[in-house]
Amino acid sequence: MVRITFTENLVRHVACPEIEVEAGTVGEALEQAFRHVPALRGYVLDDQGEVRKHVIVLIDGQGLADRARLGQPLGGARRIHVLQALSGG
Amino acid sequence: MSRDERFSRQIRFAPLGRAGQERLAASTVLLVGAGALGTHLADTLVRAGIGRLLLFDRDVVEESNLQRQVLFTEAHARAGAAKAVAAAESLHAIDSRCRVEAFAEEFVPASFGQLPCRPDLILDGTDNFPTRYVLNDLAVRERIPWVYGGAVGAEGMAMAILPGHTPCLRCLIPKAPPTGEQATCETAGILAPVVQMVTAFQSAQALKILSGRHEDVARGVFVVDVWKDSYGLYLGAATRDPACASCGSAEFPALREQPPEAVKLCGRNAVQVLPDPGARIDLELLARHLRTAAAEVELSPYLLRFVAENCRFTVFRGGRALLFGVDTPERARVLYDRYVGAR
Repeated sequence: MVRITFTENLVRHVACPEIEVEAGTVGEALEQAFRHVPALRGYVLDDQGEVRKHVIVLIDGQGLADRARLGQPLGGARRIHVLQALSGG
Repeated sequence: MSRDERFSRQIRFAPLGRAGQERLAASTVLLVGAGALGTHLADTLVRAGIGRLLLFDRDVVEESNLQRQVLFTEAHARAGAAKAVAAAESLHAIDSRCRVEAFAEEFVPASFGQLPCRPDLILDGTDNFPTRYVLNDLAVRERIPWVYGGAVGAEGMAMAILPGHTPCLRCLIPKAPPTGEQATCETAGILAPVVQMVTAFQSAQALKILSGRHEDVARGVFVVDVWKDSYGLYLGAATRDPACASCGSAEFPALREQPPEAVKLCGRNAVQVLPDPGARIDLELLARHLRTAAAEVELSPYLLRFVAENCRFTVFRGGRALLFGVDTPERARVLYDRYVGAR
C-alpha cells in the first residue's frame, strides 16, 4: 500500500484528502486518486498526461525520473507526496 | 565593543570559526525582496556580520505587513515608507558597520549590470515567479550561488543552488503555476512561523556559502508545513536537467523578457506602472501641480503619495508607481497618464 498526500495549495482548489492505494506504478497510484476525485487530474497532469511543470511528485522523498513517464515502478515505496511550487514571500 | 566580541559566539562555532567570520565580513549579498522572507533574511545576515547588503524592493509598507515582516514599525506603515529604505534604516540601527544599500525599485535583468559590485550570493525574498526566474537565470549565467525560498499559508519551500554543481530552480520547476492556481499571502494567508522556518533554512545555507563551506550546503528541497508538523529535505539525489533552459541549454529566457508596462501585483488590489524608458519626473513639481487636483498629497525624500479618483498613488523617483484600489492594468495606465504622465 502507498499513501498519497497532496499539498494544501491543491486542497484549496479541490478536496483531495490523503488516500491509501494498492498500485504497482506511480501512474496507477495517481489514477486511483483521480477516480476518487476526478477534478484532481487537471491540477496534477497536463493534457498530454504528463506531470504539470509546476507540480513536484515525490516518491519516498525522491523525484520522478521523468515527468512524462508515470510507469515508474513504486517498488516498496510507502508514500507519494504531490507538491506545488510556492510563490509567496 | 570590538567586532571579535560582537561575533564571538558565532566564531566559537567551529565549522565557521574566525576564518569564516572574516569571509562573512568581506562578503556582499544581493537580496531581492524586503517582505516577510526578505526582512528575516536581512535581519539574520546583517546580525551575522556580512560586509555589504544590496537590497531591492518595489513595494511600500502597509499595516498588514507588520504581523510577519520584522524590520518595519507602525510609523513605517503610517508613512507608507518604501520597504527597501525602511528596512535599511532598521538594519543600520542593528549594525551600523554593515554597508546596506537600498534600491526602492523592481529588480529586472538590467538591474544586475547597475549593481555597485558583484555579489557573492543572491537571496530570494521575492513574492513572484517571474522575478525568481530572473534571479535563477542571472545566477546560473554569472555562476553566483543563490537560495530560493517561498511560503504561503503554513507551507514553505526552499533550495540552495550552486550553479554548475546542483540542479537550478528551472530543473525543479520548469514553469510557474498559472496565475489562478497560485496561492498568495493575500488569498491563502501566511503564518509567521513558516516564514521563520524557510528563512532559517535559507540563512543557514547562506552562512555556509559565504563562509566557503560549499560542501556543507544542503542538497535538495526543504519542504515544511508548520500546521501539519511535517518537515523534510527531499530530492537530494536529483540531478541537473539536460533540457533545462537555464543550466542545460543556457537560453536564460527570463533575461530576454521585458517587464510589462503595467502589472497587477500578486493577490492585491494594486497595479505597478512603469514609466516609458527615458521618461523624467520631478516629484517636487508634480506635488505642487497635484495640490489642487488630488487629495492627501505627501512628499518624502523617496516618494510622493496622493489620492485621486478613489485610487491611492505612490510614485517613486524615476517614475515607477504603485496604484492601490485599481483592478486592471488598463485602468491603472489611464490614471497614471492622467495624474503622473511620465511618458
